[in-house]
Amino acid sequence: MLKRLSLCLLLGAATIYATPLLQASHALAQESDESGETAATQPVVDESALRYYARNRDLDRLEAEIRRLRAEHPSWQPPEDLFDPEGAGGFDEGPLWQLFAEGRYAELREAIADLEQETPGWEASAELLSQLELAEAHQRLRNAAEHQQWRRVIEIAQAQPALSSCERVDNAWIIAEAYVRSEQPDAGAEVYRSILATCDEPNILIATLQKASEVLDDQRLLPLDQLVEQRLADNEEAAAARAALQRGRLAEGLSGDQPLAPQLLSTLEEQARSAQDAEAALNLGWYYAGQRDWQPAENWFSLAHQWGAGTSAIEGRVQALMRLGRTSEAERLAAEHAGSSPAVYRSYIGLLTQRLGGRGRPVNLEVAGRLAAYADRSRDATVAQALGWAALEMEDVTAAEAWFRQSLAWRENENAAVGLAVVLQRQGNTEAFNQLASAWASRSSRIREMQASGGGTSPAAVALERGEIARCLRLTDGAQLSAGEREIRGWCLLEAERTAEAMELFRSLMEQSSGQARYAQAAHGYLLSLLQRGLVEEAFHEMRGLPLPAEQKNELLAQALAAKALAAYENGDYLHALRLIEVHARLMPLPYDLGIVRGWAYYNSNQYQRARETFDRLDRQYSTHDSRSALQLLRQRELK
Amino acid sequence: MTWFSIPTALALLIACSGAVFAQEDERLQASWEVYQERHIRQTGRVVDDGNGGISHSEGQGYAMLLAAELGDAGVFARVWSWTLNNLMVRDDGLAAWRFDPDENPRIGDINNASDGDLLIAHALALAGEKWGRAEYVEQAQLLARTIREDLLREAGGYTLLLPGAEGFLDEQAYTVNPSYWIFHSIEKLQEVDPHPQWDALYDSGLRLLKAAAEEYDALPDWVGVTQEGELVQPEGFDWVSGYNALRIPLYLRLAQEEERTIFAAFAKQWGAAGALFPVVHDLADADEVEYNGDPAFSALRSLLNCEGLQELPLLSEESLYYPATLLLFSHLIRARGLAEC
Repeated sequence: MLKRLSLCLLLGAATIYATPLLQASHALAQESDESGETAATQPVVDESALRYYARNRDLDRLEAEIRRLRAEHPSWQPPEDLFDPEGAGGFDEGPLWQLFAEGRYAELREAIADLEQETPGWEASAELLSQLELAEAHQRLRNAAEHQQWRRVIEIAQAQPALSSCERVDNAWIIAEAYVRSEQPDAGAEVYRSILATCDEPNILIATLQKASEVLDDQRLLPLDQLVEQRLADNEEAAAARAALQRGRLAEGLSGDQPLAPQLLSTLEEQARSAQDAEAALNLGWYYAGQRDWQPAENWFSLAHQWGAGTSAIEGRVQALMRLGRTSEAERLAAEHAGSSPAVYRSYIGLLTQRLGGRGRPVNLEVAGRLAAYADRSRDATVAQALGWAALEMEDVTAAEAWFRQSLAWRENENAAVGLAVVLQRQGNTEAFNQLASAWASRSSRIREMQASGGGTSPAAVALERGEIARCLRLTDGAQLSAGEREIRGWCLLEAERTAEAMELFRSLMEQSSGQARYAQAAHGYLLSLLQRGLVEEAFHEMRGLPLPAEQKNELLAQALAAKALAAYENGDYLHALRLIEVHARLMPLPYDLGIVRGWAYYNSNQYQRARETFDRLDRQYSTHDSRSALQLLRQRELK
Repeated sequence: MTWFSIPTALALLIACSGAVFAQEDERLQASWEVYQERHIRQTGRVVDDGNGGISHSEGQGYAMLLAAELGDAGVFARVWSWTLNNLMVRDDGLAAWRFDPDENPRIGDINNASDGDLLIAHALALAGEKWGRAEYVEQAQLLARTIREDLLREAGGYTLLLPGAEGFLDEQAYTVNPSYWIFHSIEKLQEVDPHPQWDALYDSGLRLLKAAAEEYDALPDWVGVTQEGELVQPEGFDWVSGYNALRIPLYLRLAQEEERTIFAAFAKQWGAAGALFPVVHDLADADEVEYNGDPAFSALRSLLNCEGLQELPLLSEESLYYPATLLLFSHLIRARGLAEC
């Protein structure tokens, strides 16, 4: 169907009849045959406009059209039967064409039907009928597109290939979009390509590229971009439009999961280098950071800093250095700029906290020393609770209790409360535990669970609840495990960030489990382990295949994403948290508190405008202490 | 080389169309002239003037069916052209149900209305046969197949017609509109798209009407049907016997179904000729009745027992679109001798 170009377009007929851009292949074959025979003697010329003007006695336009056709085809002669009435019995179709010209298509249908009934044997000319069909299809196409009925749009376009043309390029845009939106992006890209290859008007080409960029991925867009580059080599406007599009793509790359096409990326890198553009370098740094490709990220942040970018470049570079294991360099840099940019130092601390250990992972004592000094100095509740968990990992219950209590004193937070609850349970201090539990039961499901499972659960389950991950793993390290114990081991593996093992275990549990509840739990664990490994897309893909109700799947994934996002945030990995929240938002509406986290993640990654928008929206939705204080802080920042 | 002016051509058209209808019933014809002048725009849009000047698939379908019945190929082509280009924009090929020229977008809700689709398909099938137009028949078949495949549901021994492709199912029941069973249209679609489900739909409709008449003493505009086939009051719809249900006797007569219990239920509801016509009865409160003085409504009474059927009033220009449409179909029943009381 819509594939190849009609020849008459190449003849460049610019008439009020749109010439077909894309035509059915049989039509093309017919036309090729005709032109093959006649090209040597008489050029193939589209005379439809000419005949239309003649029928309407529109002599001015008629003359102009004859002049135009003669200029284009010097050997062409106007037809002699131009003013002969057409159709059977010399019937004059003039009044019918008049209705057509006025766009009164329904009335024209009526007139034709009446004439057919009254005058046996009379038929409207094929040309009138085909023009009418085309004009009506045009209306239908617009109306279907207005309501996003894309399959209907495609149906209409396929029945009327003449609908898209350079003169009616907006129809072609609609058709291309319809293909893309109904999951046929290659067919859509082909329509855009045909326009770019066929039409000549620079504005049309530029606008077509812009339209394509709104719906196509990089892979399909790039060849179109190159085609425009070829066809409009010396056109400044086109160059500017293409550059703007590329910048837009990079900005999108910052927030999306999809890597940019390598060609586009190298173009952008060249541009940034040659112009020593600090902002472009910074964007590239954040782009690579988002892709977790730390070496080039570090390079670009470094260049951005050299070329005069602000603190965001330093923060990015600190992050990249930490990820590359160059901690001392990172700390030097962060300390050097701590005064001018507290955010840089905060982010450095977040990264350091990630490397502390605890919860089943070995504790890094050197890091613990640095963090302890910092926590005392800065009264940082997040760091304090992390130190509590590290102490617990080293079986130093007294130190753990002190850190958890300190953390809670600085700022109420669930992690510290859970930690303290574990400590109190271990100490057998039931009274204090119950007191704490009742204070937190309404806010923390983890504490509620601890409260509920006083006895009767397996030792491994108790260990898991208490965060004694190493112990949990020891207890479940046997061959003869029940399905329930294996599930607990899975959770402990996840806690210990041994995600590959967790993934395997949950997968085999899914294969073996018979009950729906167990299966759902195992699936949950499986998805969570994929997510923990950063395999967000895979998790989505796997999720689709799971034989669970869609709602449950979405819920599982959303829960998993929320937990991951929160953990990433707590660890100071704000960009990763943002990406996870983005995915969550695509899946289902964000819960309010995750919205708040999103706002702070924007704030902490120096995206103040977005932070402001996020908190504004939340505040309008439901004004809370959280949303109001965030907005106040942002306003103060703006005043400075 | 002869050139007619446009007025000459139009005069010719008008003269010709008169001749075609010479053998038709004159009063039906005269009412049709009023109807199409008054309610169908030049553009082919049928205007519901009792409803803020909007249009709907149902109105387009009524006008197309009347035009086909009356042999008016011109008006048929005009109304169909508008319908096709403006309402038939859904992915599944059914018609969007509501068009408001004063709104943006003019189609605010892309859902369909099944009775509109039934009427349009029926009209196309009839027109295709009458004038030997294969493309009309093809369109009728396409529509019939989509209605049959997408809009029919089985519940408690009934084959139900969903009122629209979206919605109309809650946890406990399907909500259906008994007046969407346009029996003679269903019969016609069985002809162009032969399938046992059409018979099942037809038969279910008759059983549903009888069950509702027995249960409620009146025919509700909307009613719920549970999986067990029980009738229940539907949620979110007015619990009335009103503007929808009052065309049920008309549809039964058009299909020549002599359903005495149903006619009796309406006879009780509508009262004697001459009294003001009660258009809406609240099914929860017998005292809540809305009346309408349009004579086209009260003409419906004569369908029940044929009293006064032969003296049906000509359509007046005063009548609004909806009663006017009902009166036109009543004239059709009279002129074709479809009611045998």
